Amino acid sequence: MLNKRVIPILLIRNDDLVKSVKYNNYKYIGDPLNVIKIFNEKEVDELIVLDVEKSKNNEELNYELIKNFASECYMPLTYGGGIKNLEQAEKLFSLGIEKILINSANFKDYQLIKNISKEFGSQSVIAGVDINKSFFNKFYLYDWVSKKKKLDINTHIQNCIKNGAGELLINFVFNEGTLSGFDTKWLDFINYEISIPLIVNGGINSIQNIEQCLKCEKIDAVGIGAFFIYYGPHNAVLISYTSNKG
Amino acid sequence: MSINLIKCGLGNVGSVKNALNKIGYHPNIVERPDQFNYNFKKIILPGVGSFDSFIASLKKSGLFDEIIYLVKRQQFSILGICVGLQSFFETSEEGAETGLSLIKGRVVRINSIKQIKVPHMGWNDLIIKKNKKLLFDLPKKNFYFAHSYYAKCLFEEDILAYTIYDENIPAVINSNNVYGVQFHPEKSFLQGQKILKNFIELC
Repeated sequence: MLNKRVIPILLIRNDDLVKSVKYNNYKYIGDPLNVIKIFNEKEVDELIVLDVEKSKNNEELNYELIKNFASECYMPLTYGGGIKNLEQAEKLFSLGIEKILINSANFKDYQLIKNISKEFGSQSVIAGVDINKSFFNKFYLYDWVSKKKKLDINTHIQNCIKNGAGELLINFVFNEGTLSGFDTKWLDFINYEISIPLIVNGGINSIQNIEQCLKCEKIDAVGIGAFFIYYGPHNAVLISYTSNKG
Repeated sequence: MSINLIKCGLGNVGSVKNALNKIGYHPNIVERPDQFNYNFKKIILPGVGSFDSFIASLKKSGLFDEIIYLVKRQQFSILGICVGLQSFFETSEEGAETGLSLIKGRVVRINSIKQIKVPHMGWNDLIIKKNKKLLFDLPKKNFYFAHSYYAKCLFEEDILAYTIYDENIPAVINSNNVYGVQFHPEKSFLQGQKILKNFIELC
């Protein structure tokens, strides 16, 4: 049977591995390549690497760095951050990236997802969706490039699926990096069947918390950042992993 | 010792090359029909992308006819990965192009009547029906899958292993010198590398 996945999510900024709290307060962790090597040795189900500033700063991708990442991964590797066109996607696939995550570009239109899916198949494109919480505890779709509240969350998700996304990564920004636990109730706003695999991310803080998430029918995979990077009460850097594989 | 690795427009040749390097092989990258190494009669055909765009790029580069010739007339063994495997069949529900037609059958979409999620994505187990050389001595039996379509073989005996995802999905196929895996051995750690090694050394 198909095993649900546990996926470390690594954040890159200026070619360094960093870790944020609520996509803010970036802290330097180390050399991303070393950490990727460690995760490879631990036989992680998959790995997601996101560059947090490429889209914001409208920068070109560092293909040499990404190529090095890919050559250390004997498991599936997803890259996201700053991808604007099909040529970039093609280059990434040729370097050994399996899946591309598109987030900011979906706020313009869904053409990029559509084109990647048409050319490379829907299994090669993940739609990233960031959700934040207002003062009144209301969820809203968070566009962290323009910082504007725009579309309705469910409309946006449906549009991503309709245009060919093969997987969905929902980040709960208000809880990201906080190590305060992931609550599967947050998914209650999804009151329909999502036809593609769903990865959730934001605040997972224990093995039990991972197990709770994986028991949730809506969830196919959990993304984990801080919990696999930090250890102990003072958040010392120590790379760890736990697998759901039998 | 240089196995022929086909780089065709959308193929994930980078990952396969990495995995081959890891097991000590440095592939001969083939982008045109005149680049095949005849001293090493083995071909790996990785595939990413939709059926039609993959077949179209094989045709555009002239590799489509050359592969058929080498496999049928020159006894080259071929290993197709994912869409590479699917390209061995005659037709696909994903498109209108005709495949390489090296194996009888057709490619169909994973049945979504039971609201099962498509793509089939992640680590799944092999159920081995016929233990042939390609599957020799695997350290583990779970492999990474990422696909929305799969090959329905006309002949049951062409299926070496299944995986279960709502229905039985042929995961490893073989007919004479034609081999295919629906999963990604290049992204399945040591067990995947073992399959590549078995193909190169035993098949």
